[in-house]
Amino acid sequence: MALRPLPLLALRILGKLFRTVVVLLGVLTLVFVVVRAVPGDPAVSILGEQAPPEELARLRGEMGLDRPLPEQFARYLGQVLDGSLGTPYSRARSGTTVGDLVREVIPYTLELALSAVLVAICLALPLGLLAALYRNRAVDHGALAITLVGIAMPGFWLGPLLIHFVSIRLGLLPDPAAGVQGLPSLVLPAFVLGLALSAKLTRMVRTSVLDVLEQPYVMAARARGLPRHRVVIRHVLRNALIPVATVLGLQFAALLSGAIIAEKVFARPGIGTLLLEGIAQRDYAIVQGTALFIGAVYVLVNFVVDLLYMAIDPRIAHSFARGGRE
Amino acid sequence: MRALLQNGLVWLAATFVALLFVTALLADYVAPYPPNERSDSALLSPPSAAHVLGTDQQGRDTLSLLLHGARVALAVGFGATLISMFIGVPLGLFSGWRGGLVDSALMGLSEVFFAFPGILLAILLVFITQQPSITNVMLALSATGWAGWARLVRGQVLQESEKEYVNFATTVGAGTARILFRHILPNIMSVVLVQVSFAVGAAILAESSLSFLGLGPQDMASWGSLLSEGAALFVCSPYVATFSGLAIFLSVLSFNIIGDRLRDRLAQPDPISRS
Repeated sequence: MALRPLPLLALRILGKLFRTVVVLLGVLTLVFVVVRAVPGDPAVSILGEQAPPEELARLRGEMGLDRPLPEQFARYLGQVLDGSLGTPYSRARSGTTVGDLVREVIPYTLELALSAVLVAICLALPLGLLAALYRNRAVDHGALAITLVGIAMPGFWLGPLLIHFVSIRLGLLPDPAAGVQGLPSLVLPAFVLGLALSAKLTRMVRTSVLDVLEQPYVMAARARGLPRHRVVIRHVLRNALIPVATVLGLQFAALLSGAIIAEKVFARPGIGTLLLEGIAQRDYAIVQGTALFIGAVYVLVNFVVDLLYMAIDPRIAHSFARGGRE
Repeated sequence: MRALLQNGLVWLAATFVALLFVTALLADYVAPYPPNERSDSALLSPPSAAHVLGTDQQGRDTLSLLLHGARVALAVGFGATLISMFIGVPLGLFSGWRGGLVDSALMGLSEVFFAFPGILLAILLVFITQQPSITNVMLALSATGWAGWARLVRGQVLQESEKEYVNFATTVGAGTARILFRHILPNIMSVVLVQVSFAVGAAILAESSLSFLGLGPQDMASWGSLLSEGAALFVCSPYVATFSGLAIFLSVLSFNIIGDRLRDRLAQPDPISRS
């Protein structure tokens, strides 16, 4: 018996949810295996090679490293589920969990990533739209040149250049070395992070607008005598933004990894700084927790974007409802 | 006029890449100084007749370091790309051709690796080796890179599978390996070639990022580590950071311009927009 439309759509969503859970488990396993593959004994790394054997054995016991791998994995799974993500090995951080540390820094990374998205949208939307409307003309070539530069420009080069000229020479914005927080300190890192994203986004907007411009309903709107700006804003841009929104959602998750560099360059706290601190201190629990967090956010954002895509574009929902394939 | 400008840009990019290859191969001969030779009298000196691009804080000649750094950039750029291709292309071919459970499992696996955006997985893998060498960096970048190749090739195989020549090959009883490697692969080679150019540029940028974070090859001069040292001393001497950053930027830009041009010539959709 054929399924009714609604259950089919629900099945589709459930299928995506199942796939997301499987990928999340894969990410969790990969991080666990990678961190366990580190050569050497973490207890020795923490206490030093001169530490008495009984001290080392005690620490290994506390950290659960003397248990079989499946048991360690089960314990880790429990720590992920209760949100603690394990205990930092570093004694200076006793009393806190990796989850606490992540929750402490995530607002900084989030504000940086959101500001970078804002910068990217402000740059990419007008540039991509103009490039498409004036295809193969000077504006289009100029936009292409800007995107090429944006993609190739290393943030860890642009960052120091901007700090030197904008903050130190001109004194327009605070020098990151001064440790000033607040909106002014966010401008440069958000610009550096947003520029690379805007380059990709500009191309996406351009391609998407060009696709929509060729659609019959746009030609029909023009034929009805609607002013060009109205056609562009009400018909072209609105429809062209659907795929752009999807890419933006996925890129937002990728920004979390871009933030690793930006946070280092601009000496900002955040998830990237926490990861690099974990690496420098050889604190495997922090490395494991932060990497898992970034990976999990990426997978979850992917899932939400998929759902939003269905919600934004009724055609997709209808095609699913009719039993259409991806 | 426009075509002339575009062609000129591509020629400039190609010339820069060719120069990069030559200097990487002949760095020992064309560099004015050995990369680790220190001059105590010229620490952080600006460009001069003796040191065309100045010196770093250890008194090493910046130009010589950059010329030797080209070796690391190209070795990692091409090495990581080739390893990723050798893993990802056959997996993508097989996944797209077989479909079903094999396809779901392989694509699920690639999704797990895709969940580590940017250089995160490479950072983790370099971290576990504890001694970042040029080989380890290459392998770490390939561990992330193969998934992209597998997905790209799988998509192409799905398109090609519908075509007449594949149906014909199947009808005459050609085996899976023959169909995939003798028939489908040559037909999607243009897509692969275009992607190589972008992938090399991306790998150079990733290697520089790792080196900037102190996780790049430790035993060789690399542009990223030079930039990291130079950035810390930018106020005293902007030259080291400026020139090493310029080397990374121009290299990545050149590979991307060549990739863009190849794509236009072969009339393929923009991979960045497609992503």
